[in-house]
Amino acid sequence: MFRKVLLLIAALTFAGLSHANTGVAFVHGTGSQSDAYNDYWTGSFVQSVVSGLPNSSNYTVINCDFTQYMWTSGAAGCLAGQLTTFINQKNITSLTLITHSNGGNVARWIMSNPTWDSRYPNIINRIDEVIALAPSSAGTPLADAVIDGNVFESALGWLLGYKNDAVRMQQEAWMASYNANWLYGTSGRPALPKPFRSVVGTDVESAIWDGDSYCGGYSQNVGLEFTQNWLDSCSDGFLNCSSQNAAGSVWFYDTSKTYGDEPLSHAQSRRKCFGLDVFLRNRI
Amino acid sequence: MKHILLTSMILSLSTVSVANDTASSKSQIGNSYTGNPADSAPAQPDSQREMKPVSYSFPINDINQLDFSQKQAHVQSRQYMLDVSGAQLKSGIALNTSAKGALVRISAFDGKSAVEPQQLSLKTPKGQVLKQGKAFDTLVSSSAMQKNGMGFQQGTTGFKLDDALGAGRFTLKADKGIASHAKYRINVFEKNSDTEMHLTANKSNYLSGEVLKVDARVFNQGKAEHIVSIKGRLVSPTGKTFDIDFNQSKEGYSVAKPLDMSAHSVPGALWELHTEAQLKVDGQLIQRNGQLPFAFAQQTAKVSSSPVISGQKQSPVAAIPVNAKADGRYEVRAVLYGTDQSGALKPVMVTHSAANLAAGEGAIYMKFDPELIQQSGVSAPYTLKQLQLRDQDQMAVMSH
Repeated sequence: MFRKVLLLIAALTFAGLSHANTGVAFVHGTGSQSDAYNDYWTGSFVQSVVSGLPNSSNYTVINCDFTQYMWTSGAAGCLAGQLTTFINQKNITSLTLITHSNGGNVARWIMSNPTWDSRYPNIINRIDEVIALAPSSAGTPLADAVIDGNVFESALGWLLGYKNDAVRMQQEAWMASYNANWLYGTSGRPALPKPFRSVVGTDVESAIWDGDSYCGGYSQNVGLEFTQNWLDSCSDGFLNCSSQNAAGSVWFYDTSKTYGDEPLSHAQSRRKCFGLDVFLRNRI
Repeated sequence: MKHILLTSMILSLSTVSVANDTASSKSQIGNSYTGNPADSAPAQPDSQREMKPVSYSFPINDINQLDFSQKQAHVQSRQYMLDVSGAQLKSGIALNTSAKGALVRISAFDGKSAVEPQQLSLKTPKGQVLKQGKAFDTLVSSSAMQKNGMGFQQGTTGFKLDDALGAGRFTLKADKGIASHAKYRINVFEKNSDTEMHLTANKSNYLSGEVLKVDARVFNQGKAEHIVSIKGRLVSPTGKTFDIDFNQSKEGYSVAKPLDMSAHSVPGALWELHTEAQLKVDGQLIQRNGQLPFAFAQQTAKVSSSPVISGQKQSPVAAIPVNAKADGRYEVRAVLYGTDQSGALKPVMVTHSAANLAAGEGAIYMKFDPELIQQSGVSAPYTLKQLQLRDQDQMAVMSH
């Protein structure tokens, strides 16, 4: 009897294998994107990652307006629309989301609030896992600093001048409120319906004599030196490690896996740096 | 494909969606609202607001590790801000610090008239005048500040005071090239300071008519500091402001503000209590600013009576009676408990169910995942715990 059960399980497993159609979606962070393939991720990174898929054309690069609050139609609604189209067009049955930064929050919004939009349940059911590269799960003190210094609002009125609701949302106390009331996966809260595994960047190297600083763009790294002062000793130059590991579980801390034990700055955790693309390729 | 397929199969089986499958109710309407609106100027729902009923269940993790209580809202601050004119900056402004190495940013209101660090001189507490940015050990020009990609607005520069200068009363002065009529915000972040303002609200979600209760305290190495003066205002998500009064309390100041204003605002966006306190540290005045966010919404619906759970042993349905003041989209979420073979209640799943309700008495029906019930080995009687009602149009929690 036990043997029959094992055979049944094996048959079911094989059936699952033969029918699984795996796909990957790349979900960008804060900002409004129209060509995230080139502008946010770069083609070399995307192509390197998707070469690990059984069908390397089964991928999509999301382009949405993540300057908006995560729950809006322009943010999570846009993401849901593009994921639904991808799932339907490619008949995806096993979906991996690779998110970066605030893209992890938008993905977490969908998984935490499945009744918000009738498209969400089907997306959640297709998700195999979310690989969250440097997610801003607990916000960042730099968002507080940006908002504190945002005098356009004072000068021109709240809605007339510079406005980036995603930055406002990622202030630490704001994210604490959303994590406590609207998002799952942080300590003391119910687990997300699907795995949310983060890659945590722990440091920034911006010394001009260090060639590694050039991966991902030297100019993007050197400016981080000043803003590092707002952050803990463990950070990727934009997010404290305590934010990156606040939700779900940690897949790995950068230096535990990267080539040469190099840290991944916030700009580097969406680039072909120190083997990140290879680790992702091997996992999907 | 490093994952164990059997595991993924189980996981895929362990979630269930029941979009468009919520049990019908005469108060639950399809693609249009009926009935009467409650208050005037309701929250503007997202233009693509969902109209279909949706239900979703997923397994609950270790219930003993979960905390469903309402949390306090809390912020702490080691920073302050000053708004000054170009004329004031040219004649010199006081920059008081309580620790070495303060980080300073200067933002031009017009986004253009940046004050570059090399344009600044600093008079130290000992009377030494250091010109052309020589007092700073990190200088960030307006162009470098933009390049770092953090989102600081244009016209922002920054610098760090040299640690060797210590703390105290500095005078910051612009040497040249500053228009007198220009306006600037100066943010001072004292990373190394032990003087920290704490703002704590008794909860993070308020409904109209409730009283916002906030404690304001300043601590120095754990010891409460005397606050010389304090002021604050409430700021709505649309920028509307409301004056508030602080009252002295045992270790600081407190606010007890009835929230009797309209809560209709931007769905999901938080209100803030903006606070500015002055205190004395080693004989000199030190300022702290902090912004405490909290959710504030109209009470548009209540769970009007106890849930009724019916149905077969393996496929229960719960009716949640809801009294809605306004047409809208409401959600109930809860943890379903079943009874195991020893007779003990055991948590099985988290279920969310949302539907559009007309104003008046109605119900939202929760359907549960039979696969999860079967896997858990529980049966009737069932009960619901941690039941919450939410207004999705306002993006607000109606009950905990």
